Amino acid sequence: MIRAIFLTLGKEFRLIGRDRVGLFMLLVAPIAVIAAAGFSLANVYGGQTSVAMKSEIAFLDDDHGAVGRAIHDALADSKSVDLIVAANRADAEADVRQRKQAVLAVIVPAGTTDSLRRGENPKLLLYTDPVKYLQSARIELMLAELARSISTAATHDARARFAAESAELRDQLEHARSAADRARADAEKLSSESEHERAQMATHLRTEVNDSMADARAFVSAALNAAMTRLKNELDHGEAQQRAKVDELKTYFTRLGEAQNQFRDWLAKLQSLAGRHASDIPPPPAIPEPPKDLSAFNPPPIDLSTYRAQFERAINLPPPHIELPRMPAIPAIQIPDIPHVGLANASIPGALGYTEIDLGGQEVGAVGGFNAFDLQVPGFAVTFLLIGMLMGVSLALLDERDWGTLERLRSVAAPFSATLAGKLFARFVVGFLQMVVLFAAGWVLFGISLGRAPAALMLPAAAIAFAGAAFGLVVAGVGRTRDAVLPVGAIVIMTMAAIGGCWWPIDFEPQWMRQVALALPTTWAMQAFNDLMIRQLPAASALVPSGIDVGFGILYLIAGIAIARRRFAA
Amino acid sequence: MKPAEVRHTNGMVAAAAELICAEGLSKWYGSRAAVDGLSLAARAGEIVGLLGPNGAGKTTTLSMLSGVIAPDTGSVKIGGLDLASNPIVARRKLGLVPQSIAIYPTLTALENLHFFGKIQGLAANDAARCASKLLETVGLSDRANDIVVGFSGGMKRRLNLACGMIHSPAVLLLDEPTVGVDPQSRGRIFEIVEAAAVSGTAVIYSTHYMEEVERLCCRVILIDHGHVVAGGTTTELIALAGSAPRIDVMTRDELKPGWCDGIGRAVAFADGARFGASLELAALDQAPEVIRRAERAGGEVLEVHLHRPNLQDAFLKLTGHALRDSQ
Repeated sequence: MIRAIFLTLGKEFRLIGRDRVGLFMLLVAPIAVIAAAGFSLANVYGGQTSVAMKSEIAFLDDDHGAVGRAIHDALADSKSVDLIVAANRADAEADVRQRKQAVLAVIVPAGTTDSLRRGENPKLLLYTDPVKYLQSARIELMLAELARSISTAATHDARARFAAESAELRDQLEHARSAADRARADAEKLSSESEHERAQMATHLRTEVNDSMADARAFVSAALNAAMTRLKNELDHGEAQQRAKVDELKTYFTRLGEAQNQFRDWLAKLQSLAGRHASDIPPPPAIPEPPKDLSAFNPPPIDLSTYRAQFERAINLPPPHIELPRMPAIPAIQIPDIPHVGLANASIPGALGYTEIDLGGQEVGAVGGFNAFDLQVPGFAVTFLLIGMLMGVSLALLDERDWGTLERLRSVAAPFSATLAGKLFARFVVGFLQMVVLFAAGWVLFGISLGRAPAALMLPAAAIAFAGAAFGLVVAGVGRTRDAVLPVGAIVIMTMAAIGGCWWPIDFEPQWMRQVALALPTTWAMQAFNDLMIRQLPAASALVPSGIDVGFGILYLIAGIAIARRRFAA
Repeated sequence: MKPAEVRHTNGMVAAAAELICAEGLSKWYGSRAAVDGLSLAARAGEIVGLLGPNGAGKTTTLSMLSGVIAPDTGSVKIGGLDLASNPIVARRKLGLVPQSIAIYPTLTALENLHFFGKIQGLAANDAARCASKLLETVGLSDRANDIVVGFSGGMKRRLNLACGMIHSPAVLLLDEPTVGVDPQSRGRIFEIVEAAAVSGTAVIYSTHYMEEVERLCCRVILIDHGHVVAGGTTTELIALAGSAPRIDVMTRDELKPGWCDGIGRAVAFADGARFGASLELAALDQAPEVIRRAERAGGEVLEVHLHRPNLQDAFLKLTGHALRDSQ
């Protein structure tokens, strides 16, 4: 059995190797179709390809301003645009609609730049050709992005100016605040200095006053001393005179007392002499008693020292409490807080945009798109793989039947299943190698992405090759003749390829069609390829879709063997 | 295997075993019986002709004998082994040469032989040796490494035959192996088949060509509508059909009615500017008399065909003249 499989395998490889048409269909035709489809649809999917894809655009700058220049320069620099500068609007329109030379015409109306600067919403004018809708849409996307860039740039510019002015204002306010702070500091310093001066002045004044007072006291003291001396002298002189008088008075009183004693003695003698009439004698007038202390009176010496002390106390004034009146407080200079006006607070609203970030975290631009060949290479590789299976399995089995070799093989000492297995295995290997070669060619010629793990592409490639080979067996069993197999197989394969997303992204299809597509191996193969190549997902993302394709392959194989046994054994 | 008396093409009679034996083979496609209760056998060294009109069931019979299709009823034994229960071993003893040129057109002659030899169980060395020998036998040594697609019809036929014989099968089934070949290739094919029989191979030879059967086959099985109509040697079949000799004469002038009274009833026909008549003879010795009368009646005899009774006559007699289309 194994020997028969390998013998069949070797025979099939020889047959394939000698089949130039088959090889052409396996390798050259897919590359030609991929190139045609990829180059044709590159503008639709928007990605960059290794080969420059250019659309001609007519351009008219009536603005002659920054906007016109920006659009012109951007279009001229674009690798995907060939710019035709129109002389006027009619010329631009003719480029599109009469001469059909340009995909569309872009008119930048006069005053666009000024209008934009005034905050208005100027519009570009486009002349389009409805037939070139897809290209136009692609370019319009680019123009929209360009217009948004210009608007964003204008906003940035305005915001920058605003920010610059805000910064200048902020600087000025900062300067004013600094000046105010300095003024406040100066005032406080002045206040402090004046306070200090005031204190010094008070001290000085107190010193001066004290000195003056001391001088005055000394002067007064000296004058007092002189006056006291003179007064003392005068008092001493008056005292001496007064004392002399007192002494005289004392002497008088002493003699008066003596006279009084003599009178009393006289009176007593008179009363004694007046006998009975003594009572009639009126009492003598009382002689006023001399001041009792007169005798003791010794006028004290006048002690001027007391007066002197009083004077001295009088003149010895306490140091004057000199308090200079306080300086009026320097009013606080209040500088209002000036908010920091930055871009984030700019009152000019920004432009809402977007940027695509792929699953690898890389920004791919606002209108990222993808290399059309990333879709076309696997898509047409799968399509031609299935076509190869149609020719290699379905038609080859019919050929073998028509040649009679199948009949002969059924009569040989090897089970028919070995023949089928060998043929299917050979076609599986060839299909897998076909996928590898087409991906390699796509990588070399069209710069397709092989994803994070190029080796992972082999998984869905092997799975769809297996499913395709088994499906070829089903088709061979269903069609009785080449004439039946070719149209049936071609229709089925084309439908599977189309619905399965081999020719365009499956998301272009309506929901119901996408539901139908789930029942097709092409859908899962393309999902795996898209995940790996375009979405840049890890290798594990291909496991489930590849597994599903293997499942399809097993189902096809079971059905194919059952049908083929009846068809080719009969 | 039971021994049997076999008359070889070279006249040799020897005891031989039945290498292929089919009993009660039937194959139905819907309500139509392609083959119905057919039995046959071939011994070692015997070439058995399988003769029948289109759609008689020859190819179906060969397909059942080779195991290509399974019979609805009946059994086939190859070298004593039941084909149904021991298909792989039994098929090793079997070589099939299909009616179509069953070779890979984009392989070389040698590659075809190698492939079919090895898939029949030959080792690579043996396959190479046998291929080289067979290429010489079929006269394709000088084209061994050429792609088959460039071969003439005769070369392809010879290679087709070689591919069925590469593993020296005990039983060789040939399905119209000389269709569309030139006399040289046909002669070579005959020689190869005869040589195989001489070497002890049992050959079942299906053909439309009576002369091939007459030359090669020691026994003929005539089938029609899936049944065996008759079987035996060529002579036995001719005798069984009871066919008479016939003479066709072409004359310059039209033959007048009654020109062959007493001999037989002539059927007149015209061939362009010439006139002709055909009549059955009771015996071959009446032919000179027919020619003399035709010369007298027709002015001048331009052409004479004398037809001896042969297998074709027997064939037509036994299967009828109605046109048959393959079904």
